[in-house]
Amino acid sequence: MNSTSSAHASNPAGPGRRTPHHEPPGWSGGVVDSDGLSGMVSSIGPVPPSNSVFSRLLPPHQAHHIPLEFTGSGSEYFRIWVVNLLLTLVTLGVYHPWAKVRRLRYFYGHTEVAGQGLDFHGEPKKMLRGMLLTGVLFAAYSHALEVSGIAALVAALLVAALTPLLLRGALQFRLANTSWRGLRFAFAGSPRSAYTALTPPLLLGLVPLGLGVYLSAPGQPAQPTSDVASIAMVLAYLVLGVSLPYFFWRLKKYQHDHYRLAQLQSELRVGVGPVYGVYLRAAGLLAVLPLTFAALVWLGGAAGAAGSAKWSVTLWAFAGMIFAFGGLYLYIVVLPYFQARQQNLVWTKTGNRYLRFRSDLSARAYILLQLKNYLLILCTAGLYWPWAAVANRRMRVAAVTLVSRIDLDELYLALKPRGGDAAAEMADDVFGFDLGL
Amino acid sequence: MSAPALQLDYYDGRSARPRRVAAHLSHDTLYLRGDGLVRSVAASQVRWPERSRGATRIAHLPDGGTLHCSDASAWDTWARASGLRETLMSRAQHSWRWVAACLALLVVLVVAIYQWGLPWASQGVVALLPDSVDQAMGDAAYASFGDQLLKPSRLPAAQRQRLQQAFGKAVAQAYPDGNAPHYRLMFHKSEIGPNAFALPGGVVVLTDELVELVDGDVEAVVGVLAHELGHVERRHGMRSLVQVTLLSTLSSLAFGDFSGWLATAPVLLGQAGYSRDAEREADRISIRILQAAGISPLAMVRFFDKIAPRAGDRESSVIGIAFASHPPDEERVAAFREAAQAEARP
Repeated sequence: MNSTSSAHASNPAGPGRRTPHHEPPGWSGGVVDSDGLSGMVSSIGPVPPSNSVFSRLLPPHQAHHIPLEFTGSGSEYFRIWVVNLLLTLVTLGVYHPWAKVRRLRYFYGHTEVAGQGLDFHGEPKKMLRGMLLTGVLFAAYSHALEVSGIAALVAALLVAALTPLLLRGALQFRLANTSWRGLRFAFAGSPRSAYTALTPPLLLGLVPLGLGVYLSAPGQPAQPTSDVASIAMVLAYLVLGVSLPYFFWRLKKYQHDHYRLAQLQSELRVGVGPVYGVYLRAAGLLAVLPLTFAALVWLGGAAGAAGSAKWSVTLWAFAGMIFAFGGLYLYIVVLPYFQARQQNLVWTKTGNRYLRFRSDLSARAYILLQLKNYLLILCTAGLYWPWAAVANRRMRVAAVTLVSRIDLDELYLALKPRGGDAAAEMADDVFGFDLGL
Repeated sequence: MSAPALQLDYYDGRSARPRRVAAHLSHDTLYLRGDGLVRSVAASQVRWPERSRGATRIAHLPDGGTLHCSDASAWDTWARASGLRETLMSRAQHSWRWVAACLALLVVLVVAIYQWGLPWASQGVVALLPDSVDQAMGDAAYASFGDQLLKPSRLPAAQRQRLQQAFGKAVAQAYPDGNAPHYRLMFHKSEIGPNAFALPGGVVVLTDELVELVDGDVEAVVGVLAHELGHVERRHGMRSLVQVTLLSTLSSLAFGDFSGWLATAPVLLGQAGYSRDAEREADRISIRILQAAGISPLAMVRFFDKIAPRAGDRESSVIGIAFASHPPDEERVAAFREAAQAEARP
């Protein structure tokens, strides 16, 4: 664990139970420091649980560690997959939301947290509505792209303006329809903070598009202006590339700061630095490919110049293979590496004073699993697909541990959604947007 | 009551504390009793769980409450004894025989959709699109190629005019009613070597290198241009665009849950197949135009002979063929030769 995180522990964690008057004063504000559990800040609703289980925290080293489990099987999911696929095709896609609900209920139901599976409550009819609206938006957008540069820019602006709202809607929908022990989760992020997190990258992304439209406009701009515009375009791409990890961090922060179960809300306690670390390592892994390619081409040229045609051809053949199979490297090695590292970073830093997660997904094992998946999918002409999906899910879930500083049996008694019955109501006022997050 | 009872955990959705209740089902009503709770719910309003190995069975009640049963087999026994009918879907996916039947049906369906469904649908969509869309797309593509790959032609103006007229005459003879597709022939020196291609909207580009390769053989050039006109006539450019969109939608529906990237493999394969079909179709139109103009299809055989040395280094493995956008040259040459022979016979 990262012990440098700035949890200014107001009382150093000591063994044994603390008496209520030792509780940090943060309750009035609703936010409390992580109290010795590094990397964590917890927040909780305005109800001060001074004499509840929330005041009887176990010291960090006595916390319960409960591994998450995935109990689904490939052969079972294969059968669901085949039936789903058949019905989706027969109904020309209309069945898709029903198929998705059945798939999610299978995956959620077999994801067990402290012995109880998650559950998904989404209603296919609502999801069909969301799917249709997304489809209409997408169709309108791609049509605008074909019409003219200006239309494309306007459409892109509109989509960018809607994206934060759509994202929040999708998160609300997904969380409000996910339950554990009969309790629905919730997503507490506001539209405002969605806009704060997403507007800068969306605007930056629009800059090259806008400049492109400007440059290709029929009344060609004068030479110096057009040069300035080209430089601005390159700069925009550069800034976008350099700040990508930062925006990713902002997005993750928006998501993981607002997951809620009853009174408990999660928080992502990680700075932007480690996110850059993950991105840089992945970029380094990615850079191996063009570097090897360049080295082989160069060596091949050198061997050719030295008169060894055989070596030259061999080296170039290797270079050609790298060129041809570069995509595979990206998807079997770089991307899984990034996914594993990112899951570990983000989930290990997610939680609050009472509950948090820990993720130890081995990047090496996950990469090897991808290799196996891709090979078997190739050998079986795609039929291995559902097994691969299950295997990935199993490895990713099994890497996660729930760390609780409260006795779970006591926690169950204390968990109460705010404001009475939040169960179904919450889900009712969200539109059926599900972007597959 | 005779209906069997089952001990379940009832969660009211307001707390994580379960209540142990006995459930039994009779007269299409679910009765719950125990731990301070007495409730009845119409069975039709309950969302019943699907059978599956291992997982806790969870039934959803209409008000947000849930019933959990961690003993899956006890639940199944109770559900059967209570006369709770499994959905057809659930039954289908628990019998391997049904699953095999579904799989077979799926394969047949995929083949049928690929063979007839998608081409038919894309033709329908393209028919709905006004020609102005083709025009706009073709112009945009031409403009972007033009900057990078195409330079002004260096062929003598007289030669260009000769080629243009020969092709114009052939087209006029092939379409005596004047219903030939609208086209604009563009000569260019290029960075892409000997080539000819058609863009949506009717722009046909012919490179100087191709004309030089066939040593100015007018009939061969007319054959190549007739092939390109075939693409224009059938709006292959737009069709392939629509087909790619439909294919990727279907593929991501099927495979999107594991890797979006692998889901593009069927799209590439499928599109390559359509592209080969389009080439064959364009070849047939080329033959028709050549014959109408009184030119032997052997002109195209001469063209293929000329490009054969250059084509030699192309992949000819099975994988290469599967991903290739054109049918193998031998097959195409054979088609032209056969057409020529059929013509020679009285």
